[in-house]
Amino acid sequence: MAGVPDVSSHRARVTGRSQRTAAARPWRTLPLLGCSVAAAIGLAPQIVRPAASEPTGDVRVIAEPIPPLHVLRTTTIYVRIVNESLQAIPGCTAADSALGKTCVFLGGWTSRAKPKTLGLFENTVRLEQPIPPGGAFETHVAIKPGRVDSRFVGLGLFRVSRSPEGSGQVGLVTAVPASIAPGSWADNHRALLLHGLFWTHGVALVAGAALAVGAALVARRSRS
Amino acid sequence: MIAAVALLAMTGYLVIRRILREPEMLAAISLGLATAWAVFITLLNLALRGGLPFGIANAVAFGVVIVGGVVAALRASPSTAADLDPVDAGILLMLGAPASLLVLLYQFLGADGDNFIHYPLIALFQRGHFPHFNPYFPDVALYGHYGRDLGVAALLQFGGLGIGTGMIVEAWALHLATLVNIYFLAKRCSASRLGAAAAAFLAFFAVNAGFSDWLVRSGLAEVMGNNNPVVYGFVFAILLLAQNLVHRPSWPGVALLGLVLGGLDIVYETHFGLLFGGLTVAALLLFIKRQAQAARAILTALTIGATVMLLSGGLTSRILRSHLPGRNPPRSGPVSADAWARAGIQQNVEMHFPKHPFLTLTHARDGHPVPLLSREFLRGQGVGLWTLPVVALFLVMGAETLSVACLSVALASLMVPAVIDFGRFNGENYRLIFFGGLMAAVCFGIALGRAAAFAGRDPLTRLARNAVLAVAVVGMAVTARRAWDILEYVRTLAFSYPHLFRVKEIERLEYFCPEYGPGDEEAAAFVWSHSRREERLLTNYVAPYQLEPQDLVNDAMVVMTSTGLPMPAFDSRVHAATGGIETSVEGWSARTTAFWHTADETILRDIGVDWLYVVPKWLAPSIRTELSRRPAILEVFQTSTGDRLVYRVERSRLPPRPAPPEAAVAGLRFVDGRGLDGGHREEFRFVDVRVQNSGDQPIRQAAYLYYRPVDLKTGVVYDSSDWVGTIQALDLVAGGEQRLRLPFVFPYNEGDHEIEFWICTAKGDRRIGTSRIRVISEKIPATNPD
Repeated sequence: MAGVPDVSSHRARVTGRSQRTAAARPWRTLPLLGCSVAAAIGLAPQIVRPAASEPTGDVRVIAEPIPPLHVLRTTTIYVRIVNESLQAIPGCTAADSALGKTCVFLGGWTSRAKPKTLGLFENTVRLEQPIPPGGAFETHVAIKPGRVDSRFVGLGLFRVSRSPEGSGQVGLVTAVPASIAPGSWADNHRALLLHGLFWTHGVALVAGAALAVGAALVARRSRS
Repeated sequence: MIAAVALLAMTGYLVIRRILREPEMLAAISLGLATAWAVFITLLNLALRGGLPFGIANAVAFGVVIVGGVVAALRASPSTAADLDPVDAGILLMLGAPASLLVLLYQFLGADGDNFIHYPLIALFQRGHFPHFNPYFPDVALYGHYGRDLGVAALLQFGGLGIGTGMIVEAWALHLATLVNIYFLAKRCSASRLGAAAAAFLAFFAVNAGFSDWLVRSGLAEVMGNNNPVVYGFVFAILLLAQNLVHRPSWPGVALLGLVLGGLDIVYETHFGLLFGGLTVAALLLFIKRQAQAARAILTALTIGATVMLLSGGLTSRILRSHLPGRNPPRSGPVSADAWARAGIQQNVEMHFPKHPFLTLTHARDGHPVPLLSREFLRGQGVGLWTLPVVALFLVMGAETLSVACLSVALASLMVPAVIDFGRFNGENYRLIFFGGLMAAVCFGIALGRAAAFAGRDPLTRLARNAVLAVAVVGMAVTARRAWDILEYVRTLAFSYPHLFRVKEIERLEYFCPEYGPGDEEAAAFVWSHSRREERLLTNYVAPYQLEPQDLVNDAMVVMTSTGLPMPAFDSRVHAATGGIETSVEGWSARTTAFWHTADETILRDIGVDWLYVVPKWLAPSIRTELSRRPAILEVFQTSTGDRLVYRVERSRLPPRPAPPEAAVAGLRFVDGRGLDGGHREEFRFVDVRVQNSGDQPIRQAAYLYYRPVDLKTGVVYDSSDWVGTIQALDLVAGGEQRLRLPFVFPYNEGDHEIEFWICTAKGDRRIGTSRIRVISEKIPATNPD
């Protein structure tokens, strides 16, 4: 996979260099022999365990280019989740979630700046099926932007667990550029109401000022 | 409801205009609305205290108000035509437009405060519950602070609106009436239009009172949620009625002032006391000024107000009655944890004089003392309070009755929390600070008006006067900057996040409970129509992503509001650091958590509910299966989409607690427990408990076993709703052991706890052993806002 270091080839390169060095200086084969003996007596798993548990890649959310979004209109975004790590992503049913078991969710949100970490989700979807290492899973999440000035859609996975160490972000956050169009008045009755509120109150304010000043001038003129 | 409010306004206008002879039309409308609303609440409360059912009491109170309007229309006629001054109208339009806009924007953005208690209380009043009680702790009676909710509940009975929308109508109508009332009060106190405009402007946009690093309120335009519209509707109606009484003493005026003043006690006890004191000062001043008739009128109104207060059954009358001869006054000094918790939930206020340290306010954030004349306090205040010494001198020298009354209310509002110790409620003194700042701002406006009306002959004097006025007007404009910022913020918020601008009632409920939908309306309507008033309900309503305690409370609030039933699902919690009891609702009790993990009928009996309101997708299938097997729990309703279920609990069929003779289980001892280690806060588990029969006789019978946690850090025993017990079939030969599987919910505080295991016997409960556990803290990962 592109951009992902391959553990087996890396280890092969290290071994090759060691062999060349050993050929030049035979006494330096002693550590190698020592390692071989250690492996024989069962220490090898202890030595290689840290390397084996290190992730070689990460979990990524891949999304197609997003069509123009509209404020307050729900748009479904189809995504592919690729698990390039060595850890499986657990699946989680509604019942598991109700019982408080660890679940992984896909979250989507809109953001003005390019998101690097999890944002305030506008919508989430629970991953019901496990994704094994190297596996992929296709799903979708609904986005309903609240603001017109957002420029990105953030997509990321997060784990909810009862233990603090088991909770938090999973893998990388994906930022997809998006353009968000303001909802039309037909779409959004709130826009109509908001504009109506400001206009009526503005007119009342101006009318009040005109009435007060006009009446005061008339009163002053009649007094004089 | 809107029609009912319009009828109140019309009736009030007729009475104020035709009977009290109010000469100005706008004042008659605003004072009429506020007075009619206040009289309606007062009469409704008296009728309910008299034992009438809610519907009849509502009809009687509303009917009396309407009859008053009809009598005014038929019997009395004003001596002159109502005066509509176009300058006043123009100024009030200018002031009213931004005030109205702010109130509406805030209310539609869902900013009305403390809804967790107000929404369910209004719903319970609508169901006919009276006197009221805490909806989260239905066994705990409440006493005061309910006038606003009672009034809204009664007006909502006229139909057409939901609770949230009704609150918007109430806030908008009463707050605009208050604006006009302040205008005319200041106009008459200062004999100046400038003073009137300044007082109304300052009161709504430039009070700026509070703690500079915690909460500074810019004015009434911002303080428009919660009880405030009704409180200040009452307050300025009382002051304007008193002003009218001073100028035109009359028996109807006395009666109205007394009724409204007495009714204020069930809305806001503190403000009742402060206004009572302010009007007493006014009466004394009238005697000094040899206006005996007006003084007697005010004193008579005060007497009527005190009588109404005593009959109203609110907090003040309760405190006063408890000190009557033959009654037991509330004990002072240390009390038990249960009594302390109950007093907190009831909001029982204790008062001690003098406060230590004296002349010191209490910071609302962390309770540290703030001297009244310290920089820390004064820098949080606005122009009204800063100029109060000069204004006070000016107003006392002027000796205008209501100006002095307003001044004394302002001073008392600041002095009372500084010299009287209100115990655990000292931190609430920011309400009095705001009231003090508000009245100081009104006094400043009046003083400004009086200064403007001062016509010096000397050009130098006129120049000085104009300079002072110019500086004052600039000061007012600068002080209003905060209100302007708020308007800008609200405007930006509303236009940037239009979905937060909630128009329909269901959208407002979604604000508190994101999953609320048509299924809830269907299920709640079923419960409302099929349940009896005295019944109770339990719900599993909390989405997995809702991780904050407030989410639980909001979900419960919405379910209680839409079903009209209280929910005893919560516990009163021990504060982890102090050992005091939290007065707020923090989360489900251990019994509630245990029930939703076990569907155990014994636990359900201990909680004491008649209905289960279930969201099936958040219920484990095994628990749903268990519920279907329980003979006392019957599924009676499913929404058309199947997203909500309603179960009827037949309490009489729930298993009673077995209480074996003490001797029969005397040998039972707790040995140890498995699974009690390493639990997170509020985590549910089944634990294996080993018990032993140390007696000579076998134990073969059912028994009720429960545990109760003790916080070892503070030594406080948890609330009884956190003691979880089940019926266990004991089968132990003499000297034998048995393993029991008990449901267990880890305590909500982290740290070391002692878990006491008890058995219920015919001679009372007996402790069979204890176990020490440590609770691990659980933190919830936060998400970063954009």
